[in-house]
Amino acid sequence: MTANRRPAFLGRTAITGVGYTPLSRDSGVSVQTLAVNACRAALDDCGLSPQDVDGIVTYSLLNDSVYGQAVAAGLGSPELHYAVDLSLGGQAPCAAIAMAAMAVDAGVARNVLVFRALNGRSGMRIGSTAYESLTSQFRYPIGFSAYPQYIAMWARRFMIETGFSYRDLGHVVSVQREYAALNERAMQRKPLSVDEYLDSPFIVDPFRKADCTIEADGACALLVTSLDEARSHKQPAAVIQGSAWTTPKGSGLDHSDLFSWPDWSKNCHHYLRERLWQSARATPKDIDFAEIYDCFSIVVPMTLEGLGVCATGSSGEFISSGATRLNGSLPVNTHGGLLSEGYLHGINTVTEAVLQIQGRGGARQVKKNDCCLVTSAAMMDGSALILTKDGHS
Amino acid sequence: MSQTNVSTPSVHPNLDTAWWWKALSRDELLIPACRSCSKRFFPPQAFCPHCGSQDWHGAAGSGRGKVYSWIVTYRAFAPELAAEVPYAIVAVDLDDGGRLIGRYFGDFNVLRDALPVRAKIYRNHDDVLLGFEAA
Repeated sequence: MTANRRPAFLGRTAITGVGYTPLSRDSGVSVQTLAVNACRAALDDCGLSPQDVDGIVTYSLLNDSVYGQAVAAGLGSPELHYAVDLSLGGQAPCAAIAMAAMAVDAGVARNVLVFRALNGRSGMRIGSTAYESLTSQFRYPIGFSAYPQYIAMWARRFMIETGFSYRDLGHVVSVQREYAALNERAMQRKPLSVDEYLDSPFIVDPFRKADCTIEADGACALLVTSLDEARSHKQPAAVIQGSAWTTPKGSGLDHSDLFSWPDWSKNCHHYLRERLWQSARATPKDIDFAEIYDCFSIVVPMTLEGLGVCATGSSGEFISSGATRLNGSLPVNTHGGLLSEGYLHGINTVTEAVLQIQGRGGARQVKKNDCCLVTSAAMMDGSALILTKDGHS
Repeated sequence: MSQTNVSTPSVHPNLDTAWWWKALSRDELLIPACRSCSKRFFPPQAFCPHCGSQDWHGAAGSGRGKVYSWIVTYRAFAPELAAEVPYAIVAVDLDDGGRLIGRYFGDFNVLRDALPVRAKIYRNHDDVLLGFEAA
């Protein structure tokens, strides 16, 4: 594929329904139950029934979820023509939407559910679970075994390279807490001032507790279909205008192989940038708001700079100026982010984007909601989308 | 080789890495060096990640390098680490090529970008591991 050719499914596919279960620390129900409930909610939301579903795309890590077929069984769906079970974490959600949209546009499936479900708090906690991989032998024995540590390493290098400060990190967290106060779903709704943030102890310097997402039990689902079909659904279409995935050279051997990655101050979005904007025939100036995957606070500025939304070294000033607040020039992470709402591995970053495009953001609805950037990734590989209102190009 | 009491999960070498661990246990730091593209790489693996060649060898590493990044861990992410926090981990760009990650032995308050360090091979229970100290 040449860089300039626009993938055919873009501008012709859309997301309509979104569904959530509550986010909690102990759901008390099985992951299949969470998954099916979120998928049912997404179908109800856009006015479809389980009979209409012929595709499911999902992702999980270390067997922490159920296969799409288990959801089809729970929904009583007649037959799937398309089923994808990805072994991925936070890199996946935008790519999973794209896979669903490509299948729809290719005529393989008509209505595809995309979901993520897990008991990520009461069950296996990914943030600190030790699991064997090709490179774990070089990390675990030295006491380097958890995601907060890996991303903290990147955070330090980003801070060295760009001048991003501890105080700037505090602004990322504090702004997202403002949004969380307006989001009844968020697990952490307590306001946090930058000074309070700076007074809190380190977990892994440069990270404090508030820099880390909140592990959660829960599920989210979205319904992807063609733009033509979407126009007959109960909810307005969030049109998929731009999409890109990247596994850049240096991504290494597994999800936590940071050894081979040349520049820890840049995540995959730096490499995704050109293809993403070209795919949408858009530039960073065209977006009205952004939902940025944030398993850790630092990923927000790193991604904004990587995608060229902020120039290198300018994201600290941008965020601390208030630009990303609800009344700012570019609202970012309007649900409070994964930092406040809870960690459903980034699927809830996409659902928030759709709700905002549809004008269903409630107290936290952004004023201008024609075009949105959504990202899925913290480190080496990952994906992103550009979504717009129907009729906006 | 110095004895340092660090208690963490054990090393589990695989078919592509056992030679590297074996050398380390002899107090030898080897870094895979590609004969096709002349670059060094880490971790050890079957193919050079720069060019895909299988024509590489374990070259002697000086163990000298500069701090590329570092963290200080205050929370024990595994129960056996509870007695060790806080501790620092450094990522080091070796002067002769390759990036390694290891425990930092010494006062972590001195850590800064490009701090010169040298490798320190240490023993932890049955494992021989690679760490760093100020050069």
